[in-house]
Amino acid sequence: MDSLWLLLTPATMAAILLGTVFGVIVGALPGLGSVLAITIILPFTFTMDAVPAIALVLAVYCSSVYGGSVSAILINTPGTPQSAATTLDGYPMTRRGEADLALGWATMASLIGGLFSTVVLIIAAPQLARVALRFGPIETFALICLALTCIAGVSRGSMIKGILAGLLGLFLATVGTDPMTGSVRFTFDVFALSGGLGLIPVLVGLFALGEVFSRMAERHGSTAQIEGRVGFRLAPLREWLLRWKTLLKSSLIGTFVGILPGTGAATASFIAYSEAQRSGRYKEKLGTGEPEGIVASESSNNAVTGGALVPTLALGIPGDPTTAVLMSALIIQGIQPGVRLFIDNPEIINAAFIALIICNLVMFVVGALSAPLITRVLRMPEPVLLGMVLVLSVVGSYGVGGKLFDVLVTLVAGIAGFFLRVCGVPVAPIVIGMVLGPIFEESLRQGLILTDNDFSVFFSLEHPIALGLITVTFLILAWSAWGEVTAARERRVAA
Amino acid sequence: MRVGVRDTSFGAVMLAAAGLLWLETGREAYQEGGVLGYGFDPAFFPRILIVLWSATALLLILRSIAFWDEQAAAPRWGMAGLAVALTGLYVLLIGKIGFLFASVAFMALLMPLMGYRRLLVLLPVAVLFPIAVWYTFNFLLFIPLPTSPWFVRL
Repeated sequence: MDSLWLLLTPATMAAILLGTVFGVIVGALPGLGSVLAITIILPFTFTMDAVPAIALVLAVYCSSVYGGSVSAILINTPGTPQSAATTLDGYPMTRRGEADLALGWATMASLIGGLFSTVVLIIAAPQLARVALRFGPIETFALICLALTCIAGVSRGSMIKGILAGLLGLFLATVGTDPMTGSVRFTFDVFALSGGLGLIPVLVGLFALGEVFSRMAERHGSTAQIEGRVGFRLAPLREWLLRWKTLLKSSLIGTFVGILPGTGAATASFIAYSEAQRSGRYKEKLGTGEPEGIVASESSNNAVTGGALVPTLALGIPGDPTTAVLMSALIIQGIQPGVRLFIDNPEIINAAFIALIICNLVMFVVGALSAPLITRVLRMPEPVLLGMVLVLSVVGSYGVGGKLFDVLVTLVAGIAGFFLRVCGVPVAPIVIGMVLGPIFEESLRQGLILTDNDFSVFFSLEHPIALGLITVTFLILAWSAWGEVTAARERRVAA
Repeated sequence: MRVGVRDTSFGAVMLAAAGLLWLETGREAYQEGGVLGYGFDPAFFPRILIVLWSATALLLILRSIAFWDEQAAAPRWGMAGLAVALTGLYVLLIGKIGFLFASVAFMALLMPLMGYRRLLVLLPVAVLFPIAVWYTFNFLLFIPLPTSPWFVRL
């Protein structure tokens, strides 16, 4: 009760509201993201009391993850890498004139995912943190193998090209400094590449610039305008009930992946999307504008927010750069995350939990109220909209690190994205590969060191979790390959 | 454009790229041992990827033969080239004359290029939108964008 009173002050409520609005805007701007949003807001917390400061940071964290979905749905450019999977079904819905409905699905799924993970955080943070510590490199490797299977799903009809694009993405992730030895790889003496290719410049280039170049090169010209309703529309309850399994599974996946250090919301959304492709009620329609895809991606990436706080608060281990910045905000307030946090600062920690629930609710309200305004961009003539997208993409890539080199990377990725589209190659697998590549390589090499270079141990009963995950991976791959062969045979017969 | 020609060309380019990257992994810098004698050298993982990449590219070339005569829509190469050139010039100009002037010029040229010629809309958007972005980044998000050499820094 004391914690609730700590929260119910005008300063804390204002912090949550302003933080949410700010987070949604920064999240929606292509290229910027949660880390940058929290970093920008961090200096403002220096002079604030502990509870409003924590509430502000949490509000920015939750809403920035959600904000990425807005641009993913409306302009096919994920504001953050976490929302890359949302474009696969969100944008086709916009093209169909259902942007309002797509935003409704994304906002509600984000709310449910966020609330689900917060409840898990409240009930079982210390216990779950201990479970996460048992998840070693071999189990992580197996989990990433499973996540990579969603490449097969997003490449229906052109699986070979999808796999090739996925391998390209995995390869691009190796550019720069080798995480194990510190050697520099594939930089070709370009110093700016020694830190690696930035995920955000490549993502913005492939999706935004590639899309704009393709639209300009379309035969029928590009003065068309997307018709359809603007605003915010929630699907009827029966539609949600038809997809409840995906919602629950994706929230669980997001929470669990969030708990694992070093994974992150982008990984979670691809794993959840992959699982929806495997077991969703509408799995056949995924990728064509099916709300189940949005539900999978958005509920899982927002569920990561609560999950990522488990190791951060209970063990003092930040799982990703976002929670690292978030942890520094706590330390600035004199709160030391770790095993003693729940004993030393129970009021503060309970206030943070309640704040997280309020943040998710406010995020839903802000999302619903701002949608009618935001979706008006779709009423613009396409050349005007595409011009704005190009400027925002360029400035977004620059904003990540303040380097013109990143803008150049975006341009090159945009040209590559255009050529890949011309060749009928899906670009989403490249992003999947780039997101999962670093942790895939690291877990594989760490696992090999642990097993004295014996790869067969990865598939042995010594690691039952890994064995189970790899078995599921092989089954999914075999099923997808069979589907591809059958489709190719039918295509040849039809030809 | 024939699907077979397109896919074979794409597969061949990917195969050639894989070959060049394999040669790159043969350099001395990639042969350093693992961590304290454990594990593999830096080329270990990329080489696995290159092998898989080459095999998939070969598979694509073989598969493209089956659909050799299918037709795919060809893009308007000239228009795409113009868009890329204009965007490249824009990126170059950002570094030379700053974000604001480069963006105004870019938007004012891009929209007519895409077929939009209503000056009453085009000109205000081309001027006001970059100003709004510039103000947001510089003064609300505290991310300074490249400035013009014609402005004196205070």
